Amino acid sequence: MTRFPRGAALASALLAFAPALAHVGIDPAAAPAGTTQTIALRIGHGCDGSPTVAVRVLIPQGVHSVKPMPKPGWQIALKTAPLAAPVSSHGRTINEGVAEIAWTGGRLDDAHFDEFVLRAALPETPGAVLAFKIVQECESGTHRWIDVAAPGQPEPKEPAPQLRLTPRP
Amino acid sequence: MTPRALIRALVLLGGLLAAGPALAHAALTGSEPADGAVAAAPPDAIVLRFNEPVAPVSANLSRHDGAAVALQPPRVEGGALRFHPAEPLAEGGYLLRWRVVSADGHPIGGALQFAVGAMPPEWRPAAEADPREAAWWWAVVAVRGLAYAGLLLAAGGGLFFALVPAGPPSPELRRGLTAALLLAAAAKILLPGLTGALLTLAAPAELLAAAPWRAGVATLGRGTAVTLLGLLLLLPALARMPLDRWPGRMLAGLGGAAALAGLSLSGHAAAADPRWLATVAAALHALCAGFWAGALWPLLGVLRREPAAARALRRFSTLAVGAVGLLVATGLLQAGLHLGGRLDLHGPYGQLVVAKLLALATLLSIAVENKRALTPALAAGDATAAPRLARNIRSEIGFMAAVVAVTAALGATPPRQPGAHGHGAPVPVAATAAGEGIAARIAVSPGRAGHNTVTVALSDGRGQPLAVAEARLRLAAPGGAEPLERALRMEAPGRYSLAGPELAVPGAWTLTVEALVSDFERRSLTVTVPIQ
Repeated sequence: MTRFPRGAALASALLAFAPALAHVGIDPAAAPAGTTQTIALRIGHGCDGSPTVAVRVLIPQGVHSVKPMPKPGWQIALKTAPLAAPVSSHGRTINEGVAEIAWTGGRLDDAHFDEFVLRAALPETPGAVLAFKIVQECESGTHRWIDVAAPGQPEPKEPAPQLRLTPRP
Repeated sequence: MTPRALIRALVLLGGLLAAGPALAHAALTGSEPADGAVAAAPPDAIVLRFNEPVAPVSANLSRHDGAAVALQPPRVEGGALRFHPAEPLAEGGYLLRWRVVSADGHPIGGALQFAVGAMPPEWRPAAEADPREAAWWWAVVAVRGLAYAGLLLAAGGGLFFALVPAGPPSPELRRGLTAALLLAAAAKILLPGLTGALLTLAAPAELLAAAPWRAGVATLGRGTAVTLLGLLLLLPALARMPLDRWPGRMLAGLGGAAALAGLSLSGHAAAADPRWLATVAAALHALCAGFWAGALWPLLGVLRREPAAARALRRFSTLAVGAVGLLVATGLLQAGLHLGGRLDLHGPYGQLVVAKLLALATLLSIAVENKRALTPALAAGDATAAPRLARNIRSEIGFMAAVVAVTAALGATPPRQPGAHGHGAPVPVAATAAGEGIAARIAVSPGRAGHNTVTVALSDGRGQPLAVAEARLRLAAPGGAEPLERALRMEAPGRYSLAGPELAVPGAWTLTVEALVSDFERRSLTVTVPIQ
């Protein structure tokens, strides 16, 4: 009567392991607070074999002066929004900034990997961890790298890549 | 055409008749309050809307603490039923269990859950329904048992005389078989009304009115007609015609086969999928059961006539091996179709199946002794063989009566099968979880291990339905196995569901709803629900 699918549970346990090797990578993973950094987001695979056709990045709160690096074969679209807290840069007050970057129109095969690069000024909050939430759209299927685990919780299935702010040297 | 070829053709015809397309029945299209809704103020009325006009049959409203709440008689407005509570509803959770009959006379039922003020986290099952349900159920089982017993004796006896050269029956056997036939016919005529009364939970006096009969005839009508026609053919054969010549034997075989095959066309015997297979299995099952059970009484008489006895027994025992094999095979096939391969010993249907198997095993062991030891002994001229056989056949008749009683109860017990029309709407188990700006009410129906429907109602901070881009459900079994993950289907904005066999074992399951509230934001809410 209790025919619990033990094989299926085992298989899903094994499968749950596999993507851990291939989350979205971020470089650098740690950088001094308040500096401007070139940040590369690395897409390592498609969606179950399907090629990637769009990558959208949500800019974390406090990150400003964001510029994406153009990428041959991909169009860039920017969404702007008022900043939660205005920042001053080079004597000017900035009230609005890039909230979301979308690279679309390209095609990244599942067998290949690629980096999507942006430059951004990091907030002055050493010790904070910034999560770059990413939606990866494929020809069929979507990965949402948007989960942020609370401290002490196990790593979620689709974690957002994180950048840790270190004290300024 | 030989009688046997005719019988085969008739069984086939029965199968084809029953395999006609299923009619579409009335369906609930909406309600006020909506299922799972939380009303700020007590509603004036509870409204159920259907896709076609319906007649109310029963409705009972209970609170989350299990207390019954009085309702005024419903108002019918075409396809809508309006129920007014006798007194304004206090704060709390409510469960309305309803049953209606659609224009084609088919009863359908369901449950509606809502709350006034706030959805309570825990529900206690409502006190079990109407005492009338139990009374009608026993009446149906008793009359169905009489119908089966009469049919097996009369129609099975007809089959026996058609297939086994047993010589002419004695006058008292003729009178007995004719009485059994009349009993079967009377019971079959009474049964649609009683079944209808059970389905509509009528008051005893309402049995004289048309409504229960309409409801009963809709589910039993065709099968009853075929059985009564068969009995009509059988009557002259059993009462008067010589049963050792072909016109009498042909009529006895035809009538008996039709009367038994008619059983396969009614009730839920033929309601499983694939329907043609269920019908053919039920027809073969009835024919084989009839031949075996119907042979016992005539055989007792044959045993007294020494020279004919050995020949008749040899013929019977050859046919019986095939019939019993087919009986067991079709019985197991039907149990498999109805139970979906899962025999739940906690459910009444499963327990009845086991009781039937036990009685049948005893019967089979007696039959094996008859075939292996006593039939050859009788042929060899052993004088003790005939009385021992007679004794065995009498105990076979006793166990057969037990099998018939259990079968009658099985016929009136809904197997736990998705989509089967049982009586008594399921009581869902439900739980509520809330997070930042989001709340979920998760209901599991029927809440027993096996096939379930999980309904998720998402609402925002103000209690309004919350539509999300995507909703998924993770189901973790008791004991901490890796959870199953499933996409939820959207029924309406804010309302999602999953129907499937995932909740396969009893215990406390952890259900996590993952709702994509925006492109970059996923919320998860977790509840624990007890599965019986």
